[in-house]
Amino acid sequence: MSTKTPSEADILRPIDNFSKKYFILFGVAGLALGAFMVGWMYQLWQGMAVTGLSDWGSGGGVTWGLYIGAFIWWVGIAHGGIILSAAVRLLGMDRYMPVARLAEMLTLAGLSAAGFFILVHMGRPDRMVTSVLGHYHITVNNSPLVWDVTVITAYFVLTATYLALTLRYDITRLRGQLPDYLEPVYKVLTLGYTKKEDKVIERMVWWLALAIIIMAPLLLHGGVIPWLFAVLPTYPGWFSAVQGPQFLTIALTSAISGVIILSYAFRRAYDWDHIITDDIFRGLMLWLGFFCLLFLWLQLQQLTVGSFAPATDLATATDSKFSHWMYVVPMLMVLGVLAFIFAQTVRPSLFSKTRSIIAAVLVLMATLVEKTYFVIAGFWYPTFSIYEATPGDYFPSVIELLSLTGTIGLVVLFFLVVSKLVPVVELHAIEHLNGEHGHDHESDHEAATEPEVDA
Amino acid sequence: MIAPATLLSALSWLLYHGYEGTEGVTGFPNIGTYIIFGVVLVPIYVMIAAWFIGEPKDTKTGLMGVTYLVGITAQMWIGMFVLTMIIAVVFYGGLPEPLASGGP
Repeated sequence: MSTKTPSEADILRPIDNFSKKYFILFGVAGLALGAFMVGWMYQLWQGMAVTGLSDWGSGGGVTWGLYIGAFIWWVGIAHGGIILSAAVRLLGMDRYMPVARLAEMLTLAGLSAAGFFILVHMGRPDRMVTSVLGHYHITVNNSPLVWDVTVITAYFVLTATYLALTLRYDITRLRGQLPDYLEPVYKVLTLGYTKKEDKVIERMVWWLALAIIIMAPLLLHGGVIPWLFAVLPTYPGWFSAVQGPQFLTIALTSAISGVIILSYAFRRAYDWDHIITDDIFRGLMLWLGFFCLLFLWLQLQQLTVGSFAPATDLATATDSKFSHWMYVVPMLMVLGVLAFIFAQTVRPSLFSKTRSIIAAVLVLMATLVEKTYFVIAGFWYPTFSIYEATPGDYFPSVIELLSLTGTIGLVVLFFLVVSKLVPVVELHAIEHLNGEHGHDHESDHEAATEPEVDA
Repeated sequence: MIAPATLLSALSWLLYHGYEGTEGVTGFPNIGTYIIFGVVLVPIYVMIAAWFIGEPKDTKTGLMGVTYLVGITAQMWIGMFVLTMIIAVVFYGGLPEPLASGGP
């Protein structure tokens, strides 16, 4: 634990400093995104057939692959952010306050990457907006794809509003220390600000956090996204009422992993060991362990039901899980991480930030591979094996692989840019760490709502 | 006085406008109507109501919040609209239906 005192200067440091490493990272991320953009343009020019997807004749019947796997993966990562932030606000988990805004931003970046995958996986992306909006009143009643578009839009808008409303407080107070060339940006962000709005905004974002914490985990990643698969009875690998909770646990493990990596990157880059403390990483690791446990528990439910006395089509789908590396290896990776976190709980000296990062990376790799397997295995084992005679086998094309590195580049670029615009650590967090309560939102909130029990 | 049959036909035109072939399979109401508007979006209704009911509140600040919601939604979809129209012109030889004829 450092003895340094957290200060405003600390949270402003990313805005003022441009290092050589910053530009190198910017260049690498830009190249990754650029390479994918070139690939995507080629795909637009030649059609989706260049990926082998949307072609029933060459991919062994698989028409959804890495694009959809990565879509689910990014939405999952996006969840960590705002849930962590909402937990700070609703459940009083103040320990995580310093990483709350980074986590909110991860939600916006992750959702942008996920939304991009929807566009990229369209045969005719030019028709996306006109066909969705023009027929919304008909399609929303029946199409899980349109439910998905609706709820992802709602989630993005709620998170962006949350961030925008909370930024007003910080920017107004730190304005004198923020760069002048960004004045127009700050002016828009703090439009109409008055000091008396603080208490009202604080209460509004509390309700916003409540809306998000119910809608995002339970109804988006535990609802609308799994329903894209779970409601299709001819795909036994997908058709299951347990997919909602299963998807949610996968989202939460990858989300916590994303926050661990992001927090570590910022702590290291800006010398924030006194703000993003070891204590935060220990806590995040415990949550990661808990969600890994739930993840494996729900997989067990599916394996048991699929093995004991399954219908023929489900038996085939389950057999594949026991024998395919894309299922077995991710399970072992998550199990390994869970075992390590358990050991770390019993013997705290096992904790180190490097090990936490390794655990987070392993979980992210495992969830990506498992999710991609889930998508393609659905097509491998449909009821009546209707694609049995389809030649070929699915393997991600170069463009699809580039899409993965490209969207990682996109998210990195997002953070590199946004960290130069606004503080990525809330001013409240600094005030809290220093024991200042000039802006006492807890008592304001309690006065405005029913008393709550501390978590 | 408008006859009920005319009203029904007008409503049907509003809903299907050329997509009558899907009537009975698609259209209002169906499971999505209840799931999306009756369940999934309920937290948002509650949140917006709470912004204007209870203390401390300020109608102007509440309206500002609603403007954020509407503005960001519009910005997302207008942005996507512009992007997809550029894609249409560059890669598919013109605007999609219903902005232009569907083409071959």
